[in-house]
Amino acid sequence: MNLISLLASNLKFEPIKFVESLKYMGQGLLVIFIVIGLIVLLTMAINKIFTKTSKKAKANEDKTE
Amino acid sequence: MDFFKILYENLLNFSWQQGVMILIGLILIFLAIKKEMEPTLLLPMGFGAILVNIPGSDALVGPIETLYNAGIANELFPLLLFIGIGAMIDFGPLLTNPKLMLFGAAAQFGIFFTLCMASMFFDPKDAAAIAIIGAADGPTSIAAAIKLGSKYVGAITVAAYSYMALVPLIQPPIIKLLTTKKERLIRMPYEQKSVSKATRIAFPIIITAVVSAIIPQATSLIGFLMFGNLIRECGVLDSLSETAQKVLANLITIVLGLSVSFNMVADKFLTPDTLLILGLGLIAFIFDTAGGVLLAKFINLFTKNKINPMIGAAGISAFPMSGRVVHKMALKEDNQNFLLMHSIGVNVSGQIASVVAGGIILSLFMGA
Repeated sequence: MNLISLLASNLKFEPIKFVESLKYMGQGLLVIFIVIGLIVLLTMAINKIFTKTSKKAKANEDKTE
Repeated sequence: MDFFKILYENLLNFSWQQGVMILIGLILIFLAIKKEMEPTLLLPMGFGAILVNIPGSDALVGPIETLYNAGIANELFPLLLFIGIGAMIDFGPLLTNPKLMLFGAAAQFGIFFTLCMASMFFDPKDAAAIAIIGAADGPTSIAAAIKLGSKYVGAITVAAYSYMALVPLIQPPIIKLLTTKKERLIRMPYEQKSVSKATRIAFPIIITAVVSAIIPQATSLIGFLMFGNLIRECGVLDSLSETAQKVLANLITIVLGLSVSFNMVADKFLTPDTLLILGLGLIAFIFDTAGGVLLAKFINLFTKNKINPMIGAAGISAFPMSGRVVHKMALKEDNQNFLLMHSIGVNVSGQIASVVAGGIILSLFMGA
């Protein structure tokens, strides 16, 4: 038995499944961009909050000195 | 004469399939030592493949099976490895420019494209497990394949780690194919910003909370990764951080490689399905790379400060190889174009995005 006949005998091939799975691709990509987008926004927010807080703390330290 | 029988009787049970598997083991060892391709994993896997394919080997139904049940079947080893990986990652470049994370998301395109491709040949759960090779992240691939109950854990692991090692060969031609010389020459000045300690500490906690709340199937993966990072960033657990980065990661890697070889027995591994899985894994890496590059090109249509589209390719999780590949490519085009900080920022975002993508796949297919 050569390799091609071995492949052909054991593998199923249903091209229609590609089309059927496209919905998962759409859903998956949508969810990943929503989650990552949310993380981007939250990261920007914590960056701002903690940068302000650390600047204030530094200013207070300078005053007391 | 019967006395000498003991010397050769075991060899009579030797099949050509076992011979091929031993050859595969030797090739993995060769690649690990001579080519330095993911040696920490390919070497134990290669040696394990030899151990389990010797006729009558007591290693398979013995220590290897015990290790497999102790750490792979219950996903423990990949998760412990994630603590070490989390402790190794500096999210600093990402925190200075969080928008880079979008490229990490785009570079998971290969996972979803491969899912469609694999579903033509495999059942939905196996197709989903194979697609996660595109996460370019060994622990995620193993953990997801186990959770989905795939019978192809061995082939998936070999494909994931082999292609991670081959990133310097796979990515450059795809990047060149999708970009023009002018685009590859785009310079991106790096603005050095300091990131507060509080931000570094809050980041892993927030990521864990957000990802787990939306995709509970990814809680353990993201949780262990971020726990490792929290140990690193908290500033009071330096010795634990060092242990996680070195001792823990090394120890788990040794047993992980050997344990995976449980699935590299000839009759399980040497099938046409394995060849197909290796092919699909390559497709996943190619389309991951394309996804990141194409998003950068798309963003460039609307922005004034152009992005070098090559950095999009670093969004695949293979850390830090992918970031370095992009950096080297940029230097080859223009020896004054330093993209390292951007590409590493995108690369670490790929680590988060790949776990998120793995979680999404699990949430879509766990109940299927």
